Amino acid sequence: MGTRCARRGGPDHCFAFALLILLANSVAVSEPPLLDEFRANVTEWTTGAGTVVFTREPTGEGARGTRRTFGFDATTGAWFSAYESSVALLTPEGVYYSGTPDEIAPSPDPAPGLAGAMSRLIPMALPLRLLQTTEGLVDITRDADGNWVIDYFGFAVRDRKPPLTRTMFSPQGKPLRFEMEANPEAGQEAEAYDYEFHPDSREPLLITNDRRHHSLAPSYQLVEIQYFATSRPDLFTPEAVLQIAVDNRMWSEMRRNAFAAQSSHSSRGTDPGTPIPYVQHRLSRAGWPLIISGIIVVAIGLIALFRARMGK
Amino acid sequence: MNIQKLMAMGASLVIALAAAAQVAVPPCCKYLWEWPAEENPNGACAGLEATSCQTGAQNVWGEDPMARMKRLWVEAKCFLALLESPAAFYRQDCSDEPPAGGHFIGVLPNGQCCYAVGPEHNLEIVPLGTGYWVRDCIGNCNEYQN
Repeated sequence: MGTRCARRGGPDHCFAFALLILLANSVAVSEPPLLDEFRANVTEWTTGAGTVVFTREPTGEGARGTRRTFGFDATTGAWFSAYESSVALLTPEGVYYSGTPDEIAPSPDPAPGLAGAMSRLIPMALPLRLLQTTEGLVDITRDADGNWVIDYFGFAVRDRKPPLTRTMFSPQGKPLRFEMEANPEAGQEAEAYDYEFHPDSREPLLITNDRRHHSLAPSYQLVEIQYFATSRPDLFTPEAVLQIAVDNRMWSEMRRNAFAAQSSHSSRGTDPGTPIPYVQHRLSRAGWPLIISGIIVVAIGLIALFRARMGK
Repeated sequence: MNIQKLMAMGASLVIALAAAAQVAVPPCCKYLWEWPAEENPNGACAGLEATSCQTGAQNVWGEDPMARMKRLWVEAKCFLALLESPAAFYRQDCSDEPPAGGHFIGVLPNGQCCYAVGPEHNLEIVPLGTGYWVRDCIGNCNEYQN
């Protein structure tokens, strides 16, 4: 929080932000006065935005990381994420599905309201979600430059305090900045950064560059992006999303197998995050047959020996 | 002692050894996990990433019978959990209802269960493959068995 206050303009800003948190935590906030004006702007910004589907793949060598595909329909607010092991879909009708590439089923949305918007990947998903719901919204204001400032609560599980989140847009609807307070209970630090977008992405559905820096996984790059001029409800069905997830799983498994084959010829166990794979050597494969053969040979020998002795 | 008795004793010995090898290894269900220190100010089940390996139970020793004799290897299923806030790890009593949409990560030493929870597009579970093997699960089985 201190870092964000310092970056955003000193003690006054810090005090205002703290006051905002207190207000938001104390009573239910009525609809912000600028909500209608903002919604009118959003409608103007996103008219004819259509649909986007894009895929990210891990970069560099290594078995870690999987191919993942995301989709977002600006008209209906439908979205999906298709990973190797998990699939989530919000249909144009507002039904939430989750599961694996083998099967998905309707289930409770773990992050309803603004917290569940796909805004980390597509910042415009947040204003579009605001056209449908204000759940989680704290306030909408304009700063001295006329930029739109949206404060809302992020996702929180059960009794945890939801992190206060802020997203800023220019008067023309360009996403500018993201801020999120620290989440000490979850061991997560505060975040604050100006948006950077992939050069192949298009307004208003700009796609952010991957900012995640996991020590255990490679970074990701955008390998495919498709824009459709209109709403595409056919892409947001369980069947369509499962097919993508299955394809992604096959891709990821092939990559992992290729890495396993490669690493079996090199040193193993150097990566602390990966258990040491057990490799069965030819000799150990032959171990039991050898032992059994040995027992038989010894038994035959003993029999022969006893017979010889008894024969004397 | 005649030859029949000797052979019968030998066969009994082999059968007994084989049976002992089957039952001498206790059921084992251990969770090996790793939360990188630099993103882990609060200890386990915190931060934005983790590796978890869930070892198998008895009789999942793979195709190599020698591994059972050596007692050095046990099959494990490992995965990475990669999160982006607001998705988070969450710990709770294992007897409680799992959080909605939660991905089970593992059982912690204090007996609590750890889950990854959040909007699905902010979290990713990356399988590292089954058939991995880790060293020496024996000795921890009772403590971590669930």
